[in-house]
Amino acid sequence: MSARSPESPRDAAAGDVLRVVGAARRRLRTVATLRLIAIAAPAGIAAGAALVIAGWAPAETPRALGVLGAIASAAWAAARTPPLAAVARILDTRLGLRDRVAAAMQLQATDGPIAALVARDAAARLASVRMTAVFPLAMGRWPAVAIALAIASMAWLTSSRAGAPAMAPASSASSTSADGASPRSTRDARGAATSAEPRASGRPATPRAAESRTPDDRGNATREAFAPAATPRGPQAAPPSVASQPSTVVNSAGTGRQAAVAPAAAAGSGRTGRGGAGAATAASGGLTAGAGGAAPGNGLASPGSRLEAPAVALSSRAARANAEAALARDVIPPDYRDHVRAYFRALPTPRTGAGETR
Amino acid sequence: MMQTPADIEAQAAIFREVFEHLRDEIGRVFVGQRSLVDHLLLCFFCQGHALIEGAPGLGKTVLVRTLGEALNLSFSRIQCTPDLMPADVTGTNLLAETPQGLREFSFRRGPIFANVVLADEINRATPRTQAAFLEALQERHVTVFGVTHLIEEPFAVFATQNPIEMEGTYPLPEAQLDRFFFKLTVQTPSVADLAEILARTTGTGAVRIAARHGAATVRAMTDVIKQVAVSPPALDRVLRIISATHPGAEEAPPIVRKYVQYGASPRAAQAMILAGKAMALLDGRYHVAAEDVAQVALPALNHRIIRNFHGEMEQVSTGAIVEGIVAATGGNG
Repeated sequence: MSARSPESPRDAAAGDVLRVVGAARRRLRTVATLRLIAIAAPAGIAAGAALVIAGWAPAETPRALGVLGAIASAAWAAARTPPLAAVARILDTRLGLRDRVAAAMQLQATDGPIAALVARDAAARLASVRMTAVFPLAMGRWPAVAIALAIASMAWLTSSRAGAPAMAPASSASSTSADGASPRSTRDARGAATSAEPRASGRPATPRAAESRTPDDRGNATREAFAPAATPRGPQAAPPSVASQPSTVVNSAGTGRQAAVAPAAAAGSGRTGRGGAGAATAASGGLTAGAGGAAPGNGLASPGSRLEAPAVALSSRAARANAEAALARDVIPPDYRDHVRAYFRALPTPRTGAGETR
Repeated sequence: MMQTPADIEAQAAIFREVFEHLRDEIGRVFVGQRSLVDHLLLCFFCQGHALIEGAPGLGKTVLVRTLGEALNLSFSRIQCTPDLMPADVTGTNLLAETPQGLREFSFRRGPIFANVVLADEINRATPRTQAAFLEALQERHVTVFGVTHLIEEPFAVFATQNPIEMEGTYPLPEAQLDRFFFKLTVQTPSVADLAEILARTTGTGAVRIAARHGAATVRAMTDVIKQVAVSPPALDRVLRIISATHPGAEEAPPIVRKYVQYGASPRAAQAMILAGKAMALLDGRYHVAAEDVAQVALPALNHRIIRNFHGEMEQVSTGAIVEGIVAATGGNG
C-alpha cells in the first residue's frame, strides 16, 4: 500500500463518508435509546404504580422503576448499537444508494483508483443527507399507549397522595426532632415515648425545668407529646381493642384517670416532683395504648371495628390533656406546636361510655 | 503503470459507449429482446462463453455474428453434426511441402481459433467432439499432437441448441455446461417485433453493420471490469444465493429442497460477480451492489442447477427455481 497525503481528495472523500456514517450511528443510537425509554420507563412506572396500589411497595416505587427502566434502556441501546459496517448498510437501504456507502467503508483501508472513485461517489451522495430525515424520531402506537398509561398512573398516585391526611405530624416531628437525631420511624417515636417514663419520673416537670433541659431531653419530651400522633395513623386509624388496652388503664381506671388528670393540675399549679412523674406516667399509659393500636400483628381488632370503650376514651382524653399541658408548659418546641394542635383537632372527640363517671 | 481515477473513469466511459454501440448495432438486425442482448454483451465483455437456447429461426446465429462484425473481430461458425470430428474444431497437422521441397507436418488451425465462435446446435455433435470444446472453453488453448496452441484474446464461444428437437442429439454433460458463463434463452418474438422483423428482412435494403473498436478495446474493457470493487452486501448476496441452490443447505428454500438434485458450482459465483461488475460499470458505479448480482442470477444459474426426478416430472423450470432462490435471499431489489 502506498503512502498517501492526508489531504488527498480520496482521503477527504473517505473521511466524509466515515463522518456521515459515524453521525448516522450516533443518531441510530439516540433514536433506539429514546424509543426504548418510551417503552421501558412508562412500563416501569406502571409496574410500580401497580405495586403501590397493591400495597406491596412504597410510594416512591413508580418513580424509581421508571428511572431504572430509562437507565436500562440507555444501556441496552448503547450495547446494541450496530457497528459502522452495519450502519453503512442501513444507510444504503434507507437512501437507496445501492451499497455505495458499504463499499466505501469496505475500501477505507484500500488504496487505488477504484477505492478513490467509490469513496468520492459515496461522499457525493451523502453530502446533502440529513440524519434527522433518515432516522426520524417517530413514536409508534404502543409506546404512545405506554406513556399515556404511565402519565395516568403517576397522576392518580399524585392525587391520591395529596388527598391523604396522613401521618404528616408524626413523620415531620420524628424527622426534625429537636435533638438533631436522624429521621425516625413512628416505631422509634413510640419506643421513645414508652421509655420516657423513667426519665421523667426523676426530673422536675415545671416549665422552668423544661427550659433547662438538654436538647436531648427536649427531644424526648417532644416524642412524648408526639407519640400518640404516631400510633393511630391519623383520624381513620383504628382505636385499640379492649384486648390490647393496657392494664394500667383498664384494671385501675381510677388510678389511670387520676394519673391522667393529675399532670394537668400539676402543670397548672407549677408543682414539681411527683406531679411531673404522674403526668409522664399517665402519658405513658395513654401512649402505650395508642402504640398498641398501631402495632401490626399485635392482636388488635381490625380497623373496621370501632370500640368506644370508656377506657379508650379516658386514655384519649388523658393524652389530649397531657398534650395541652405540654403545650402550656412550652415543653414542645415552637416548630411542632402547630402539628400537635392540628393532630388533636383532627382526632374525633372520644365519647365516654354509659357507666363512666367523671 | 499505475492507473489514476481519471483513467478508470475514461475507460468506464468508453465501456459504456462501446456497449451502447453494440446494443444499437445488434438492435438493427436483431429485433427486441433487450435483456437477451444485454446479457450476451455482458458475457462477452466478461470473457465468458454463452449457451444460447431457442427454437430454430429466432435469430441466434444472426445475433452472434452481428456481435463479431460490430466489434471488428474475427468470427467463425461451426455447424455441429454427429459426424463432426474434434479435429474439425481444433484443427490438425497436415503434411505440407516446404519451399525447399521437403515435406513436413504443419498445424492447420481449426475454426475454434477466432475471437467470436458460433457453435451451432452443439448438442448434435458427439460427446467426443463436444469434449474438444472443453479445453478451448476453459483453458483458452487447444492441444494437438502434444503441442499446445494458444487462442488469441478476446475469445468467446456462443453455442446454440434447440430445446424442442432432441432426437439424434447428445445433451451436454454437466461438466461442459458448467463451462458456460451464461445460459440465455431466446424467446419467440412478440407480434410487434415480428412485424418489425418482416419489415426489415423482406425488403431490398440490406443492413450494414458499422464495425468499430477491435480486440484491443475489448481487452481493455475486460481489464476495467475486473477492477470494479465488490461491496460486502453483494458478496454476501452471492454467497447466500449459491448456498441456497443446494438442497441440503440451511438457506435452501422449499422449492430447492423439493426439486433440485445438485446446486450451482463456484463457477456460478464467479460468473455472478463478474457480470455484476460489468453491470455496475454500466450504471456508472465502481462497485458491485447486491441488486447487480441478483439481476444476473437467472442466466448464471439457469444451466447449473440440476433438477431431480420430481422436478423433471412436474416440469418445474430451472428459471422458476432460480426465481424462488432469489426471492428467498432478498429479492431483486
